[in-house]
Amino acid sequence: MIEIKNLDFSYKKTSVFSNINLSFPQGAIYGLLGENGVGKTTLLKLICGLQRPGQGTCTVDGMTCYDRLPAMLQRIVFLPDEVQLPDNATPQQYVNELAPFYSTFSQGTFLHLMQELEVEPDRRFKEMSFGQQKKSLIAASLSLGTDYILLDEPTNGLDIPSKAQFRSILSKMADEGKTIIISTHQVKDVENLIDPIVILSHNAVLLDASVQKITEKLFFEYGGEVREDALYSELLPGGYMNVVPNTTGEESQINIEALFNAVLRNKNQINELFK
Amino acid sequence: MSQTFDIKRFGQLVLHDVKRCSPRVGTVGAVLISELTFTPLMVLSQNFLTQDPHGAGYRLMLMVLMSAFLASMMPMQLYPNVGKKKTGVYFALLPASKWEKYLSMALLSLVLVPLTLMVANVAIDSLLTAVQAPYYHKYLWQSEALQWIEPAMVCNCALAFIGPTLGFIYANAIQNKTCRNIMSMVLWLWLMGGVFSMMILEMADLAGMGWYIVAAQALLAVLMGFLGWNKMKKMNY
Repeated sequence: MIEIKNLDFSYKKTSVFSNINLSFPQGAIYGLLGENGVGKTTLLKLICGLQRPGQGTCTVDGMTCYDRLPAMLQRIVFLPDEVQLPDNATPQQYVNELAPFYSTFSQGTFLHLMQELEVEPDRRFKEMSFGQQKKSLIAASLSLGTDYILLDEPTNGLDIPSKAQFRSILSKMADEGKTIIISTHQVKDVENLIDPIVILSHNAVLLDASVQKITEKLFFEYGGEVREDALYSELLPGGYMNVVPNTTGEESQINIEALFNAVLRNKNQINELFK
Repeated sequence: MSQTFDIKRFGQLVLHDVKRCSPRVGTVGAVLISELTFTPLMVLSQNFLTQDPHGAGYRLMLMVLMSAFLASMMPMQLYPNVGKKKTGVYFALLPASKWEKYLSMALLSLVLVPLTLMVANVAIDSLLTAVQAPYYHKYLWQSEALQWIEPAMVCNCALAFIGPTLGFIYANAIQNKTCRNIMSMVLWLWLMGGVFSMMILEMADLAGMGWYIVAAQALLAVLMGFLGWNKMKKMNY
């Protein structure tokens, strides 16, 4: 389990997190959402030990992340948004370099994922498009067999069919008990995938709840007029979509973009609702 | 399995680093070729000018100087991305301890690369001597120069290589480009000063100070090693 307790972090004088608490139990796909600059990538970096917390602790299975112990690093893989790859290497060579360090690496899984994502394992990175490079990296990262998978904007650069394949691959991984944390702005790409949802704001965690809990507390109404009690309204083809407090206990289909906007605009009310 | 040092994991890391550095073999090869051509050229020109047929000592000196100079550049060639935010992530997240990563870098920079350079140098020099190339009359180990080499001189040369090389490992991890460049300049000066220190002292009639210079360089080398390790330990990306 990943546990963050009373964590403070700042870049020089700019505070990013102040006394935040989060936990990521195993076997789920967490969606990490937030505006630009709230610290989504920083949180992922803190989890994999690339940044040192100012105060508080961040642990993976009880190991302090910043120590970057081999046992911790073997359990975690981080796919950053931008990676500089060795131009002349092929994806197969890339995983061959990493494989000896991960006892859980599976060549079969790597080839299967490469095939599913339609990338050739023996083609050089420099001959690939950005999207193909990204797909190769996703396949390489997921084939390492780590328990925790941290993905920063993973769908950037992926074409439409690849996004669907990506979702299906991640679903299978979650079924196998892996913990996946996805930080993204492309919420539509992962809408039916992420559960629970974590929304970050400057210095704080605005929301950390499962989809079930969200739909218990909020109702997403489609195709009506603007409601007075709406936390957020948006005009869509066919009428307004409203996000309102769920007073009837009725179930509704979550819309993550609307949820995000509702949470950002009604911080105190959301805080009260989800207490 | 130890989380600080495990011999199997360390072996895997060294192999990984050697493989990872292999695309840079071109650079290392270019350096080696330039050295291998530079030394015979210098020997030939020196012998041509002075008509001195006993050039083994001169060749030895040139080899030591060139090897120290070029081998100390290797950390910058082999590990240029360690301190960079985008590229350093790969290095930082490789499942090996911080200590193993630092040791692997030091092993490659201080032992493997200089050893390769030295073996290549001696081999080519021996080959030229064996085929009786002009002015290659004696093998290096037959040189009279070996008799007048003093321990302080050897220590000075060794430390003038070890210290700056450890310093370059430290400099690689510095994320501010200006600071890194200034540090590199200082290290070049140290390398030059260290290698030529005995010569300078001889000229100034202060040869007795050789061991003081050795002690100072040893202290600086330890400091560079500590700074490099400390930086590596506390690296943020």
